[in-house]
Amino acid sequence: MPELLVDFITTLDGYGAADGWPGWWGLQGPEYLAWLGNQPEADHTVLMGANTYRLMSGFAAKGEPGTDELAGLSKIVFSSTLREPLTWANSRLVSQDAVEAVADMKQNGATSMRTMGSLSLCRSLLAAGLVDRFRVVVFPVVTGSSGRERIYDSYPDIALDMINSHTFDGRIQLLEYIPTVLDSPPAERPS
Amino acid sequence: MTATYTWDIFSSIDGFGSHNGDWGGYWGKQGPELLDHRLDLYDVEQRMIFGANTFRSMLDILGSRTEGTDVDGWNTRMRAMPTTVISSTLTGPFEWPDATVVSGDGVDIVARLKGESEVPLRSHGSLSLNWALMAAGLVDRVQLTLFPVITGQTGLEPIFEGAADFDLDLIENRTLDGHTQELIYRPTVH
Repeated sequence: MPELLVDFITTLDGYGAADGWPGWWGLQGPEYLAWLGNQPEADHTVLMGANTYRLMSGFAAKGEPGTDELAGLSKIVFSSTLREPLTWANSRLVSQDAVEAVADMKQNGATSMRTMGSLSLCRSLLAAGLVDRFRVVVFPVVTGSSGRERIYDSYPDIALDMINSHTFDGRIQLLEYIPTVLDSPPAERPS
Repeated sequence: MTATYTWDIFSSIDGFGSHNGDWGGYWGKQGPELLDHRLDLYDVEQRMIFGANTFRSMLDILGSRTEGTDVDGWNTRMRAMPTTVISSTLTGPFEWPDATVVSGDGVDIVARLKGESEVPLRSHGSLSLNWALMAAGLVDRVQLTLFPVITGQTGLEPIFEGAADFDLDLIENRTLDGHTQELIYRPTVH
């Protein structure tokens, strides 16, 4: 069965973005960038929601660095508001409920999938128990003042089995887990 | 010579320091490597620094217990260390061998202790105190232990909720028991 990877970059305090900071918070380094360029998930279909699509396709239209590589990837955009045709190359619009669509693709499809950004999409996929791997790359910064979009808001409780940890450039920490959603209310959960 | 100040803090991956669920202590994820490592950390003489709320819960959990009960070894060692509690309300005596209450501004008190103390300073928990100390540039090391859980429903006390923006130098990191990540950073106000 195809796998689904939820893939985030965050600050140490769990924010995916911040006002006034550059991309990667200005802390990317050669080891991290080399890993990004050689990921085994390069052939996965990229899943995203409408907001991330608007943001990233806008960057691509302006020719920002790094967007060339993304153009070639197969992308699925979940949205009930965007309309065909999508202008960014290799993007397919799906207006069906994302959880149903991804469940169907895992059951009947042949290609593995990973997410890009898309906090609410990831939250839905995680809560539905569809996620096989949860990977977060933690950048060495705390953005208590300027952080926005904390990736973990409104999450369920989830147990994590660590399958990988790695440090890039002496400062960037990759943590990778198999998630198990704990779906009964904590008080009713057998201990 | 200035004493080193370490803020020692436990957290879920999503940044909560505590919970109201049935996870238990360490979110149920403690193992022999973690407990041995904790014991080693408290093998050297240090002065503990607590805020009032953290010290109250320490007293509840550890106050009347003594060697030989079911308290983990590092907690027994921590309790035996000289302790400064920063509080304007607490008054002793406490069931804690060597605790002194100091009232006043935490930043002033810790700045003075860093100048005077002959042993390193270490705080555990004590969120609002440590946010203020970090903002004042007094925290030399943030020692974060990340337990492998997400507590979106049951998480309490976000550990960086009241923190400013900080740049972090990663000094040390290790994986314990194959699933718990310890990360030690030197924070600098951004």
